[in-house]
Amino acid sequence: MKEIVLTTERQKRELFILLGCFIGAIGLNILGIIMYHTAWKELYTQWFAVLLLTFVIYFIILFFRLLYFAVRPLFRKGRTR
Amino acid sequence: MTFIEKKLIDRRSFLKDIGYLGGASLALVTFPWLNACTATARKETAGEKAKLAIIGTGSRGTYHIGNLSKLPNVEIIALCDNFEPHLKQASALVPGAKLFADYREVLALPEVQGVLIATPLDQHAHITIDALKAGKHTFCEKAMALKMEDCLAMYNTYRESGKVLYIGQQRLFDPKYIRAMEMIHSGVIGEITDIRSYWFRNNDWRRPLPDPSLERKINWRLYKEYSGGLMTELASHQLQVANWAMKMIPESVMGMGDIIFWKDGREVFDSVNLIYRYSNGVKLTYESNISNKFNGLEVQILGHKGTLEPEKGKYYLEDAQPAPGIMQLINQIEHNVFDRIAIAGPSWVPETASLNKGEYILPQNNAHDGSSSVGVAGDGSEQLVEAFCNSVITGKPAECLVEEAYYSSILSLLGIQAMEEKTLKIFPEEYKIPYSKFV
Repeated sequence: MKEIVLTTERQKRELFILLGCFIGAIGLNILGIIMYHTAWKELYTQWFAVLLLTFVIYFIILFFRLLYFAVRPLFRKGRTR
Repeated sequence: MTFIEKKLIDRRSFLKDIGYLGGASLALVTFPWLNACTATARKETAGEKAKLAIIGTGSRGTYHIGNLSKLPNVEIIALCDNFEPHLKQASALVPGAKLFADYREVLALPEVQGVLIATPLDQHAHITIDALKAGKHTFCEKAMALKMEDCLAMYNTYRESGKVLYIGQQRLFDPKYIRAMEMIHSGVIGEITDIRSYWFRNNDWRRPLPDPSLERKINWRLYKEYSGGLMTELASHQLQVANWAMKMIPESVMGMGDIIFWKDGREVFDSVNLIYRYSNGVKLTYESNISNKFNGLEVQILGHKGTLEPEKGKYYLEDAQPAPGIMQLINQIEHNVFDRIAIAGPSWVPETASLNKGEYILPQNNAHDGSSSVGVAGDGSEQLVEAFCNSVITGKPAECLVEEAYYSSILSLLGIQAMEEKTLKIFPEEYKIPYSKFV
């Protein structure tokens, strides 16, 4: 069985992506507050929704990244031929 | 919703505030009759017993005996009923009590400090007046009387006698009603614009007869000689609630009543629809019917900012708290992605009833469906008789209680007149009594 090695560089990259998702979710929370004229206290009262949204965005991005890694060899093969 | 409104709704210490558990509050100033059942009143009467006689030991009388038996400060020393089986039934609950068939003998007993009258309606006035004149503190079931002049005579005798008079309007002691009134009067539902009140049951309102000759005695509620039917037996409660909310009495009433289903020889209507109009234009619609129980009972108080249903113990704000911005945004994105694109939408959406589930007035709700003819737990009846016992011991009346009950009795009788005469009836000036809480 092939071992999966998560290098420090890979771990850092994933954490950066997760941080990016978190910042994006906070941004959406702020956008929602502005668009729907709700209370600014939602910046901290909706922390659970922000956290949940962070992971949802992360997994959506992950899905597209995995899709990209899956199809990339096909293009490479075609180019070498 | 403002901060103050939110605070009012969230206040969990309501029961304590109104004095059931002790302490005083603004509620006692606003609803002064509650002073008779506070911890202070209990302390004042501790160790003493109110010596009572029960006149009328039918279903409601025995219900009161049940509530009285839970109180430490009362002793039932006499029972009176001119119907032997009822008297026997009650004497089993109060074994040591003296038994009488004539109420005048009870009033002649010097040791009796107070009487509780739960007789048919036509007997309320003369027994109450005799009791007050005999120097007894008196509790009389609602409605006050079958005739307006009798209601006024009862009120005048009460004022002249200096004795305590209670009328069985238990909603004045029901925590959810008290809280509801606090909310209404502090503006939580805004300006009252309409009141829809109804009481529906599906039963013939008859009691089993041991002998057909006892029909009018047992089923007195069905005959005009003894009862005002749905108006005096049920509506009088809800009219009191509506006036309490409005802080005024209606100036006129019109209505229609019929016997449409229970055509069994009864004389009182089994279906009534009335409109009471207050001087500011607010209408109180009243509907009662005893051949369909789908809607139960309620006094829906409609304001421009919300609706309150005290019987269910719930309120519904017109502008419900919106969902958090982030949720609305996600919802919007979801709709944009997954919904079909509308080519042409309807220009009008049917205004079906609100699906707002509302909030409870009190954390512990004691709502019921109104089908009980006798009484239900937690509706204020226990506090009402407790307050009466305290008043009997202290000799202090429950302020404003008689006035609230008086006006609801007069209005229920005025409603009957409107239906029978098929005319608009104006509230008669000669039946207005001084009452500072109504403008």
